[in-house]
Amino acid sequence: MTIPQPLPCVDVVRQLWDYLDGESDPATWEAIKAHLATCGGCQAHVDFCRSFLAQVSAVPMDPQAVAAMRARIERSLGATGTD
Amino acid sequence: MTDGFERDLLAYLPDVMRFAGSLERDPDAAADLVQDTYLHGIRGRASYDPARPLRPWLFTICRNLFLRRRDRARLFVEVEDDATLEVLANMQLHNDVRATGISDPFLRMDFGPALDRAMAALADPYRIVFALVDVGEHSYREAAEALGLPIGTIRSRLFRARRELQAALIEHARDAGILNHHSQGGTA
Repeated sequence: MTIPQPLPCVDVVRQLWDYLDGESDPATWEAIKAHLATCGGCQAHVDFCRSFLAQVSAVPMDPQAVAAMRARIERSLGATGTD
Repeated sequence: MTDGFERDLLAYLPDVMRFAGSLERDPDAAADLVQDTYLHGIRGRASYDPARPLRPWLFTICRNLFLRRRDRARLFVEVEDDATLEVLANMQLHNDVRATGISDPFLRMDFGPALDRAMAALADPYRIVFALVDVGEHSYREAAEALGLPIGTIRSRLFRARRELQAALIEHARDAGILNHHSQGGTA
């Protein structure tokens, strides 16, 4: 049985985006998860990056800009037809 | 005015606007891209498979229109990324933030406008990969296929894009008084 070697912090940071994006292979994902369970510094770093990604995906659009764009699209559909 | 299919498409208008605005630096070009995306989507409804979700289908139309009118040579430009330096810069950035005692600076700022300014300052090869993956929800492989780049290039450009955006947002937080300046320095 092969005992996995613990990852150093620098390797965790190198691969943390893959980990957060779900792009890690299963063995690496498990190794990072095991490292995070015992390393508060890396866990804080992952939380920081996860917060960044969550904010990026939650940026709202201005409702007035959306309404104006919708009106523009509907005008262009009316002008050109959709067939 | 609009039928059911058009209404369904228009429900995703804020998402498509956000995606187009992240791909195109110029707001007028982004608005043109959104309009063209919808015209292509509505006229091309015959190519839509109702079993598949609409949102990624719209994102794909938007991305393809953007890339078609783009000088693709600029996307394939060779850029030097030192992976080790990037990792160390990323660690330093986070250490600087931790030293302030504030763990969630992104929640304390007007994030959207600050992100838009930071994205506008990113070089195209980095900004477009960030736009595809983080706004357009492409996998690394989908982004690589769309841009015709190796997946390792997508990975390294995304790493640098996110690090530069985080650094710009942290600088914004310092300027806004959200973070103190005592630990500033040492980050590129």
